[in-house]
Amino acid sequence: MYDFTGILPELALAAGSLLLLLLAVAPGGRRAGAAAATAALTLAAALALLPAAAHAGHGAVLGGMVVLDGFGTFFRAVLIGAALVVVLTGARYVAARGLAAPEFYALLLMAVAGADFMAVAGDVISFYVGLETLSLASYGLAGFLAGERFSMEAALKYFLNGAVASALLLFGLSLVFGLAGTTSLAGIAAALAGGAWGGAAGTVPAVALVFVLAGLGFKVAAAPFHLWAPDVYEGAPTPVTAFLSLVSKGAALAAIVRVVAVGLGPLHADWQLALAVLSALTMTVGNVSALWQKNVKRLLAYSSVAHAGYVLAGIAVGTALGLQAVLFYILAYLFMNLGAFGVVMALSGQGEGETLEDLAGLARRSPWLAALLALFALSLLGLPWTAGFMGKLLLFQATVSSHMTWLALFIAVNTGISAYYYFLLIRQMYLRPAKSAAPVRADAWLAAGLAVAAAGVLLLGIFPQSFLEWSQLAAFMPLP
Amino acid sequence: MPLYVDLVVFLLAGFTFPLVNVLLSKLVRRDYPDPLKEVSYESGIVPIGDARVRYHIHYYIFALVFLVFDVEGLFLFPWAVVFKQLNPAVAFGEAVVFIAMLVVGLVYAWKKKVLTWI
Repeated sequence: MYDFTGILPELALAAGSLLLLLLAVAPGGRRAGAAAATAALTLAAALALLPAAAHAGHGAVLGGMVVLDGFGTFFRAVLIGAALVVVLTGARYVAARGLAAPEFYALLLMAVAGADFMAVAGDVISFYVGLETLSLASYGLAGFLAGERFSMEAALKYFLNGAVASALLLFGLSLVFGLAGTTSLAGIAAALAGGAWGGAAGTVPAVALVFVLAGLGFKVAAAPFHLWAPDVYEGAPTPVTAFLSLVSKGAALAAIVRVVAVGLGPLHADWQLALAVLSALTMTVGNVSALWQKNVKRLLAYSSVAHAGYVLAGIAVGTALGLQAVLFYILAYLFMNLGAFGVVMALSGQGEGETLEDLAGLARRSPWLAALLALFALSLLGLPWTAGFMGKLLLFQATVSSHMTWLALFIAVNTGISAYYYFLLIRQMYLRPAKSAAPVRADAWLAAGLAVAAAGVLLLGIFPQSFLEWSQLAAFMPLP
Repeated sequence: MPLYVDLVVFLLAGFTFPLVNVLLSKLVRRDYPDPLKEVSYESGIVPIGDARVRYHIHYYIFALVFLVFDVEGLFLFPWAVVFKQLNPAVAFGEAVVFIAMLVVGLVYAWKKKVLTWI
């Protein structure tokens, strides 16, 4: 009999999701508050079960489907934590915009369970099932503003792009299975290292790698596979946008490490170059496209495309140092992006627009919200004393020490480009007159979420030491 | 770089193969157009009306629920085949969990009046 202790958090999430579905049809169970509380408690329980699950074993468990290691535990904590904050901060938005709350949270919990399996996958099968669980739930979530054209468009675009991405990924994985004869990621790495089908020098492994990277590139919204991201991020309900940019992207980045850097590890000369080019392209396209945006959600969408580019640089390096930088950057990105979307949620939660015009004069209307958004923008830019700065510093260190100085130069130049639009946000809030004097209010949960995000940004920026040790531990995993 | 040359050859071959086949058959074959050949079922029922009619959205959800239970039945077959080789109590428990999850879906659909045909 299998020991299921290792996946207790995910079992809790699935159970919570089913409970919410029953709650949805129970008499009087359709109140948004009750559903939000159930979802938040489920996520908190999953987080509480995580230490027990992490200590349930080391290495492959459950027939090799799941790998328990520091890397997986780190990502599960990040993914579940991010989802918890999204649920708490988005509760007012969901209630105010009249979304079908129980179904919304049921899909969200299911998506987190899928994301977790991507982060701990030890097998192509568990990785793919996790990916589809996450994706199918996300398609639904993107279209949750029923009757709103942009939301419908977002769901449809996301679904069509996602389906194509899945097809590409599956085709690549089928080639990998064909040449390795196993679906276990460790087994694939061993077969490739043993020279199956020409090993690292073979044509078929290279073709498979291209398809797998294209499929996963869609999921992290890496250029040139990012075209769906701005439309989906703009049209989706704001809590879902935050969720997609954190959980969906984080899980896909973890999966790139699991499937490409470990499973296809012996091909590292190929994927290193491919990921480096993808990374340079992604950060440049993301930052340059963000310059023209008028909608804040769209601007943040392009900004998150660019940030995925930075993270890919760390994966491309392929060393323990690079992986450590990746983990630190994802943690930093979690706090600053959560914060930035939180402020947008405060605006759109009370029915205001989401364009740069609507931000004008926010400093006079709500000085606290404006100060927080300024802090998050500066961190996204990567100014010293913020989390973003430490993250970029580590990426620099990793790329330069692996003689990929050109990639470090790309990061530096792109930081310069991004300064324009991050300062544009700040200029709108502080130097433009407000159209109305009415203050923008954040409810208690949203305020708490923003406080946590701000504390995270400052802590990671000013006292990075303890977090560095944590990400160092998590990076300890078999890299080629 | 020979690796990437292979890749280009692979791509070119992939595009050329269908194109050449279609064009070649176009050149070689004889052409006797006949309205009867354009019909959906050449030797079947004569079609009535347009295929592009609007289905009731209800039909879609109904079919979806059917599909879920169809696939459930499919998954229970391999389970039943190896049942005797497994620990019966555990195997039974696992199947019950699996079916219970689908039952939650059925209850949800039922209460949402998916099963009532309007």
